[in-house]
Amino acid sequence: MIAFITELLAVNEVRTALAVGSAVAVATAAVGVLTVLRGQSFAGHALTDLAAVGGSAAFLLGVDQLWGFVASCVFSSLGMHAIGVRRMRGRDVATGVVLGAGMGLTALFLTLARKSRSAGSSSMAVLFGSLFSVDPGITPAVLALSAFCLVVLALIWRPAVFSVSSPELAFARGVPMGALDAIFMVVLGVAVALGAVSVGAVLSTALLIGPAACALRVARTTHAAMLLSCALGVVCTWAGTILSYESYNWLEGKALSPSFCIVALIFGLYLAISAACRLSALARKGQVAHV
Amino acid sequence: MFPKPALEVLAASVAFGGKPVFSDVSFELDYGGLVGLIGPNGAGKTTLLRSVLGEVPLASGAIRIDGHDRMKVGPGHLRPGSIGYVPQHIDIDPELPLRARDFVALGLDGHRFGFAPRGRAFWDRVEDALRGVGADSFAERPVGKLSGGQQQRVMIAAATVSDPALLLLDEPLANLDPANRSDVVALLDRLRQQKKMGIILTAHDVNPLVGVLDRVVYLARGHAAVGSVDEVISTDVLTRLYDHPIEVIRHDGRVLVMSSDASD
Repeated sequence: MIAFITELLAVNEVRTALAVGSAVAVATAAVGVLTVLRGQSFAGHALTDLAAVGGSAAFLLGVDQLWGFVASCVFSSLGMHAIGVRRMRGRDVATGVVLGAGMGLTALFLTLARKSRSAGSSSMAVLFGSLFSVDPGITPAVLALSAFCLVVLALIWRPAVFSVSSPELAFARGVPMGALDAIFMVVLGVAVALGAVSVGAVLSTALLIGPAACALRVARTTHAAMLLSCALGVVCTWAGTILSYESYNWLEGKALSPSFCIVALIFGLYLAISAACRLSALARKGQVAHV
Repeated sequence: MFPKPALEVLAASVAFGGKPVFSDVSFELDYGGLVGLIGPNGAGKTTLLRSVLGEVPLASGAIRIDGHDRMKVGPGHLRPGSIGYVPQHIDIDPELPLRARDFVALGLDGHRFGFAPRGRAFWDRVEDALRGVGADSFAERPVGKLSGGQQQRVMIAAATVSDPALLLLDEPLANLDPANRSDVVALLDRLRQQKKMGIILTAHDVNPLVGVLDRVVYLARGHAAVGSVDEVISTDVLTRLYDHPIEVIRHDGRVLVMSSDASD
């Protein structure tokens, strides 16, 4: 087993994939917990669609996708905050129009990129990511952005949980709700951008919400939820990456992309935990009935 | 040198879009005092509370908390712990992974950014607050899964753990059965005596509060009548306030406010 791991780590692409993937997983999983608690999963998802615009624009300009993702995500998240699109219920039409326009721009940039270069897989890279073809030069940037997310999260954690549990009391006690929202939206934007680097813009939501949703079903405190979420995110990233790498051998030339493997494992994990929770709830009911 | 009252409302008026909600309301709440903001639904009681909170600006007049002008000072700049607030609807997500004890802890340091460690003294204060409201038996349970009455007690603990100058409660008795109502009234009476905080609560029925209120602020049709229960809840005062014949009947220590117009 140890030999197997060391063999894998000897491969440059695998090392980069695991380093970038782990840093991203920890950041997105931690931010995801607060996102789900605040009921902003849809805002997170909307950001992933807008991330695609940045990523494809970056591809067109020849800049690394990471910066395209970060720029469009942070810009869009602050825009959402300014418009006050916190709870999207009343803003469906506006949201739909903006997202539609975003996807349109993405399609435009990607077809332009395809015409100017022979890179046929550009759209796949932006939309669905590819951990194995990430430029190792962005690893320090990814680590720094991930650390940024974690530090800011730690700083706002208590007021953020307070404002979720009782917005009225939090306001009365002087929590600056507007500033808190703005800071969170920036962190959310960065996390979504990081997720897009790892598994692509389309699947970034899974990295954000999946491990968090699993952890929140099980954890008793918000700190436990965050730690568990990060652990699950990293485990799924590692397992998915290794699975994808090994699938080259099984499938003779073709392979399962790491993005698919990671997201599939997250989804499988969520199903397993949901089933386990439901079974244990039924068992408890059964016990009570027999008393 | 007389001590400042916990809350002073001076000729306060609020209007929404030109329409006056209430005008020229004045009253004081001392430390250790208990004031009831009574009136029918829609009279502006919640709006007045929100003005005290700093959420709703005044069209004219002033509100002072511990001597500081409310309007000049945003909620974040008052001495932390100056106001505790218990809203009418406490809807906490049942899935929120937060124990009652942790929720009360946030009432003490949830407004601070960062991760200052919580020591022994901190948790002792939280435990005292929980015991003070009788919530120590369910302190370990997730706050979202508690019953309405239990949640209310935990909210009161969270709102008072920081020893605020002022505690505001919006319709705390509205959804309770009579036994629970008298428990909460007794709890609030005890809290204001022990902690010396000023308590103001809204209610549409003054009966459960008759024995404990220092002062009534009766709000109806945009105006207020201020005084003791006997002074304010009287036929003359309410008839003048409602601009409509009102009869107040007292029976066995209880009060019944009736419209005496035969055409109703």
